[in-house]
Amino acid sequence: MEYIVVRYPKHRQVIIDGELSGFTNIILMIQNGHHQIELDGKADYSPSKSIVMVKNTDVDFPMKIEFIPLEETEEESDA
Amino acid sequence: MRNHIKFTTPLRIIGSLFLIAVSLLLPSCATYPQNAPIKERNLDAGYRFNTLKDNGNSDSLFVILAFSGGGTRAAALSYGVMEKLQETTIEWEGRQKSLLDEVDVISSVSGGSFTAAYYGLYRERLFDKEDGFEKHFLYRNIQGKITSLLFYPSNLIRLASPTFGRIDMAEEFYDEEIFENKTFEDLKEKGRPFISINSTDITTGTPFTFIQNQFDLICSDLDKFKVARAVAASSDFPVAFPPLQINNYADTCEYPKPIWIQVAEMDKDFAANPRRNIRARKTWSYRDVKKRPYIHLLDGGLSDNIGLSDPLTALISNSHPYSIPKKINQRKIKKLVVIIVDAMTAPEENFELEQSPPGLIKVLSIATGVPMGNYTFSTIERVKDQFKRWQKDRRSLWNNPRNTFKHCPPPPDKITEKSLRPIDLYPIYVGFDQIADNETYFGKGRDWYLNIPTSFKLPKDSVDKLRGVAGKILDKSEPYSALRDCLN
Repeated sequence: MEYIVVRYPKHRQVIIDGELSGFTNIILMIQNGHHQIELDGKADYSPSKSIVMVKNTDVDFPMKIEFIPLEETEEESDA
Repeated sequence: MRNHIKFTTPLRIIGSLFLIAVSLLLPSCATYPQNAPIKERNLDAGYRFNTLKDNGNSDSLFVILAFSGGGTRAAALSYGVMEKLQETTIEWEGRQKSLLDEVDVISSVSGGSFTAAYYGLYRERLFDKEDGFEKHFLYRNIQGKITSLLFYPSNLIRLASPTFGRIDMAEEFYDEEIFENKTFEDLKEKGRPFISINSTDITTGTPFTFIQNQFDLICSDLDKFKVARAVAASSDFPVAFPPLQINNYADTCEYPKPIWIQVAEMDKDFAANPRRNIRARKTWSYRDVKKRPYIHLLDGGLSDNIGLSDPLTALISNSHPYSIPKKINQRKIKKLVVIIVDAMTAPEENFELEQSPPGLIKVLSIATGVPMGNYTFSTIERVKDQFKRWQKDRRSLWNNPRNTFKHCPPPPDKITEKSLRPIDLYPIYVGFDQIADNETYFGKGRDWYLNIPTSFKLPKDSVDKLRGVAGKILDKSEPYSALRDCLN
């Protein structure tokens, strides 16, 4: 069993391989091998998805996967 | 009188011709029950873990039972475990209940599938002395009954058909006499626990589990499928019975390739996860209806004689109908209990005393039994390794405040408890090798239990002892005692 932390400024659900599988900024258990990681909800973050190979992690040293919020568009800011 | 003879002779001839015609036609008519196709997958319907009502059964105390094969011996041992769990009262989250009420999943093969399916369909009636499992299965000569059916004239004719085998005849018997024509829709109505009946796909050599997730791949409706047919496939012992067929309709419904399969296809090399890669390829092979229009199934024990293969995948995979890592990540589980009920024997052999080699039947028995035993051992070892790893990680999580991720910028805004929740683990094993050298239960020692034959007919006294010894082995299990004490 491997461990990851999906970093994002807000509390969001994490989607691992297409299924809701926990939350951001918390250690998550994951099977070793390749995985597709995304966030649930609005596609207002970047990158839109991350394909990672998870191996040789430890609960004390989980793999860190980072998403960042997209800048608000002008229209949204005006609104 | 003469007129009468004249009148009856043509009738006799016509009658004889009619019978011959029927005899010739009947085999061509006799065929196995066709599983129903579907045009569209519905992920919110069908026999899936997620669609079952929970019956007040929490995820927080997650209990998985694995029932092995071994004919009536396995059915009796697993029944004894069920009796023990039923009489074990616990208090969980403010409610008093039996430990059996908290069982979430029962995964079974072969003989163990009779107990699992019967409980799934009938619940408390399992224990009914007058009209339960004891009467309908455990104390019956099932083997003798199936053998006698082979000699019914109507069955002799039907068995001449290439698409109707002895296993289909056995299924009819199970359906009428044990499972009362119930289907997976009936099983679904009962809610949890999720009954995971396993057979072996003889093409891939991997478990074929009777759940809608598996039937989605072949575009078939499990709701209409007889529970008896799944149990027949699960206990379809090779040579004694031919393989059991189901139709693959994979070209009749859309099924986009799941993401877990897409990423697992990248896992070919040893640095990644070749085991998951193989699982993905074998899973996706059902979509190739041109290569695989018919799926042939045999006893679940051929790929996993302990019913642990599917729970093991659940323990390590994020892509499984009841994925345990997913539930732990979602903070749903506090205690995880896995009870392995292993009716494996180690009969004493005497062929090594002879210079001449063992006969064909003995060799066939060895050829099927030895690989089953080896696989059982390695599966149990893998589960033990997984639990050891979790125990180690649990200690690390519990003792190390760094895992609160205070340092992880920027901090989450809603979660107050930032660490993965440590869970309590209870791996429990019930097998005859747990009986110590000097111990006897009901007047018999370990060797006696290890020499009970694999059959669908056992003397009443043997069944009684098997039921009793299951509870005794549970009682002396340290993790079971710890669990019971903790929940009282």
